[in-house]
Amino acid sequence: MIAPLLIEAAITGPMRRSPGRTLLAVLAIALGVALGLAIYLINRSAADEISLAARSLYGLADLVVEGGADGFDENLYPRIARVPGVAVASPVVEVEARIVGRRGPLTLLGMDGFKSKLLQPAFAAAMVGGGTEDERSGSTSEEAEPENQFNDRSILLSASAARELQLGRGDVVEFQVGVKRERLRVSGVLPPAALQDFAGVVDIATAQWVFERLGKLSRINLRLATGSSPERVKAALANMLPSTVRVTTPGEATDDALRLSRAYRSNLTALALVALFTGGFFVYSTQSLAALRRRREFAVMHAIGVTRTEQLMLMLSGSVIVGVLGAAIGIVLGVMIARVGLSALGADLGAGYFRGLAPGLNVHMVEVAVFSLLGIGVAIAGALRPALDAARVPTASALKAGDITSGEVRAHGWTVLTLGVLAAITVSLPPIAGLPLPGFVAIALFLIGCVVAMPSVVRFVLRHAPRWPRIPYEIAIAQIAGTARYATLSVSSIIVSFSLMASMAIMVTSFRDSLDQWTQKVLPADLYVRVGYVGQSSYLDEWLARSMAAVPGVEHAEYSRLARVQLSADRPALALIARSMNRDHPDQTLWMMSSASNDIPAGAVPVWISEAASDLFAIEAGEEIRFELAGKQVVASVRGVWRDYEHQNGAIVMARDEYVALTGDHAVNTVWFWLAEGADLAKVGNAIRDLLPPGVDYDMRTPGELRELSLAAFDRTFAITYLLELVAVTIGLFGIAAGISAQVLARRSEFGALRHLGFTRGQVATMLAIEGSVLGALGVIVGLIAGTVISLILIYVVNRQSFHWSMDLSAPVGLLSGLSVALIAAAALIAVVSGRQAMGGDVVRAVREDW
Amino acid sequence: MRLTRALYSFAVAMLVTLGARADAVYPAVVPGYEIQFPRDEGSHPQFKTEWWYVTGWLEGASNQPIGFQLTFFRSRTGIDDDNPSRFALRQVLFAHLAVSDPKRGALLHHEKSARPGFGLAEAAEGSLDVHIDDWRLRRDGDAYLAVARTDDLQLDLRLEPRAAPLLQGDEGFSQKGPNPSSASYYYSLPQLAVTGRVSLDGKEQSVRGVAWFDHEWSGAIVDERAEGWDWVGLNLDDGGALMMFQMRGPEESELWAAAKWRAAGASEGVPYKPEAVQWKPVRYWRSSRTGVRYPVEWQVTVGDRVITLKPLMDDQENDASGSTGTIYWEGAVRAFEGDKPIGRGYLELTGYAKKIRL
Repeated sequence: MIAPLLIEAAITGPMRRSPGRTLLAVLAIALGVALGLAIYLINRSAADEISLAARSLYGLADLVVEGGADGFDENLYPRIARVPGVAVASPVVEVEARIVGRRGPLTLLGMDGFKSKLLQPAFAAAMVGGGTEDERSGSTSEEAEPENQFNDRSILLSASAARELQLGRGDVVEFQVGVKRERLRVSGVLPPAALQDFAGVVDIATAQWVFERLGKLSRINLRLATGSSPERVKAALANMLPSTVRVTTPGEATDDALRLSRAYRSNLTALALVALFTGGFFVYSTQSLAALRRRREFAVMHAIGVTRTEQLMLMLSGSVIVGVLGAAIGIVLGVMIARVGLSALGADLGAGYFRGLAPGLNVHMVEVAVFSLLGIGVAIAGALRPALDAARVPTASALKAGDITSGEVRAHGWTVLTLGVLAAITVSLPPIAGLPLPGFVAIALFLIGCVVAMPSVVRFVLRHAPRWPRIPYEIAIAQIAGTARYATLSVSSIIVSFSLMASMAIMVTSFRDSLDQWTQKVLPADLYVRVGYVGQSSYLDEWLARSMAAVPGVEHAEYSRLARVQLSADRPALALIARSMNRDHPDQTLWMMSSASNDIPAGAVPVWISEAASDLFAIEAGEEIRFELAGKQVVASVRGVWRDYEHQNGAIVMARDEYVALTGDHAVNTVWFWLAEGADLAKVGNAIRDLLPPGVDYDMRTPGELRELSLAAFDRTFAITYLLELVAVTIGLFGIAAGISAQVLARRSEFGALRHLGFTRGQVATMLAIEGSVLGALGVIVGLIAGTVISLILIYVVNRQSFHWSMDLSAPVGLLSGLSVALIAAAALIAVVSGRQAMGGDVVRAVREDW
Repeated sequence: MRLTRALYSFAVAMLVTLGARADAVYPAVVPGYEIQFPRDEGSHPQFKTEWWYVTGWLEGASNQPIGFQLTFFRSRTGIDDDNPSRFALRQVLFAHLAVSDPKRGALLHHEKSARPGFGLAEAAEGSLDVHIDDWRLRRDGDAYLAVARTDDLQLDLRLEPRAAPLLQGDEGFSQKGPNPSSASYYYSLPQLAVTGRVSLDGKEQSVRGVAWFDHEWSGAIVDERAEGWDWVGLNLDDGGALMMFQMRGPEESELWAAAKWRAAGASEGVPYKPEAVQWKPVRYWRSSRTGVRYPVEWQVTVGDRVITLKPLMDDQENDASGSTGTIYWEGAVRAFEGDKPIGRGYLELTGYAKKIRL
């Protein structure tokens, strides 16, 4: 039985005596839990929303047939519908339709209501509602211009589309198809549950006709007859489908939608957990210090009969209190952050993966429980080692007077070596399920290795410290050397947080610099006009593009067309970019990473693939690939791999003349203009604008604007990582503050002695400042070295595996040196301030305390 | 006359076209058109609505009769005439399958709808062949096949004609209201001998019986003032056939009525004018499902013949209020003259829930 007095002595007393440290420990845990929970909640909300959206798209379908870059031949539909075991086959035409005057496309679903009502009852109810009332409101459509053949066609909008477009029944939506405008009348708004996306539903025949998809289907949702085996139906289907068309389950389709952003989301989660990790380390260092300082308290407890187990429990229960408080605050904070983050940054935290996704936040008890336990667990884990050490202290020697020193430092050579080897092995492992988990494990192993190696490093450095015959300096060095375990703890918390921060800073800077250079490389022209994007309905006719090139002031122009290509049925389609290419010097227009050394095989079309395509499909320069383009089999020879930060699913570049020869598609999406000497950019731009039919949505940009846009998008994406870094550093600073101040406060008697010996207050302060800055400098230098190593892992392993983007190393020297100086100064300042506090009382009495 | 299903098909067409405005011109139904076989058994896609309709009484080994009906409807939407898409929604097909089994006490029914195309659902021209998936009605030599499969109900029937087609109205021109512009082309095949198999709840049995086939196509059928209608087609035990209907105006008044009686062995039927046809309700039944009250027992007068109609079972209500909004009664009836049974057939009662629009 542990007496209340003992609890007071062992738990509540210390907490009350150092409320600042306890508060910091609680805060550190709270921040870690809050960030981890917030990021997790936001990610899960996005995932929920996407699978809900997918469920509304696929309805009750058991299987989905889909594929082909721009769909597949509709003649497959009757054959699929007749496969034994298929009860309902619901054909769908999906178009990313441009709405006049809007940037983002609307997902337009062309469906056969007779089939989809069997799979999506929610649609049918709304359709019936939409139809019957329209019978009486026919007068509205009579105002429409008679020349538009599709005026009578109507569309049902999803609730979110109706809200965003501020349209209701009877209003008209204007779409851009090519450079033409087509109007559809809104015949109703679907209930929110029926269709989640920014989307609309039209009749399938209307979709095929208006959006130029005659003869094509995007997918067929299948409902199987009761008792039929999905595997058997799948096998039967696979036999009749062309290689680019695949059979999936709706669940797999959801995965596709999530796959793109998964690496980004998992990286964020890892970063959030780093904050929790540093929080745990903070608890470890403060508890270690407390344990050292309270050796005699524990010895007294032993002496009065408290068993070592009870003592362990007492110490740990202090951490449990810290953990519970931290977790509670963290949960509340985390939910708040998630709510704010969702509304301010969106479900992808600003990365732009899920356009138009506006999920609500709901928190499950299980998640709260898991993250609470995580926080409490980290707090206990942090306190476990110090508590065990403290319980092991021999009573007699600890009761004796003397300082709380613990100068002896155990070397952990083998442990460090083992950790290093393990880190090296894991870093070379391939990603697990497309996620760079081994890279993260390697980083963790490496960090732990650094911390374990710290005592030896400290000892080594102090042994070789430059001699400087100044008494405060000599004493400071001697003090650090004499209390190496303290020193190690203070330094370690700097290393952990600073190395992580430095590595992130290096990685982000490398990425940003590479992106910047890349935009300059890929944007050689003076002006760009783009109409439509991959898979969208709008484009420019070639004659229109050519007439733009004839505008006075334009020296010459080049054209590119964006299409889609399916390399494998299991992966999302790649972007195909057909543009003018110099076969012998592709590096004039692309940032080449590798080139083929062999000759082009006869009959093969030369193509250049992006790094992502090379990674995802395991294709190297010089190899041959086959794909279907406009119904024809194309054999292509990969002439090189180029760096691309734009198409995460991969991209293929092909010369436009060859694309036109293969497909007969003369349409143009982007026109690149090189201006003549002295031509007025604004004048040329306006002349080009005048050529576009009124109301056409286009993008006219200079390279400078495009570069700004892409860097702004980059910064938006990484804004959340900056925030996470900041939190890690804050927790790291907590660690320094707590470590140094605890140590300094415990040395009141030493200061008393020094004052007796004739030290001035100033000299003591100088001594402490030196101690602080030496510790700070040690931490910063080792942290920088460790951070550089981690940044290499981030750049060459984690990022490459997550996004398939390579980048060149580039360090933010200014930022890092500034931060280093600030950290060292902060360490010195904390030491001095704590010293001043320590010397505030009666120093002589403090000396006597020891006797 | 089977207008009820036309309503279905119309509602379904609305469901898909989402209120697209139709400017199509439909051919007019005029007297004097010569109906030819088998050409006119096939589809007439220019006309707005068309239906093929089989009803009948079946008996298995147990001698306990059940009623059945299998109907296909075609509706021209009037839109998409110039849409080159193979999914273009120029036509809509709808099918309805129902069985009246007194042991069950209520209808067992299913429906199907589709846009024709891709060979998955079609209504052929030139000869009878209409199908949606594995529901089908088609000519097979001199006979007809009616096939439909669902999870709990399967029909596989062969229908043999034993008499010439019966042209309704004036040589197949059937007027539906005081205004001759509301009319349809209409013929019937009464006294079809049925053999085949029926599977109810997984229990299959071979059956025989007698059926009635109707085929009707039109542009505009129903008079503006009509609130609903009552129709009956009877296969008389002596080999004769009787079809009669009335269109009801407001307050259950008779707006229009007609009948045709073909005596056994006669080649032509005798048409009756509206004033020679009377419908008098005898007994009402109220549905606990919808609360609607139907006159399920009638005394009808055709010329000087007075016939009593009694249902095989009271609850033969179709409640489609969940999908298309129509609620009506349609089922197997026995016909009596005095106490003497004279025939069996099907009775359709519409417009008792609310006014039906077409």
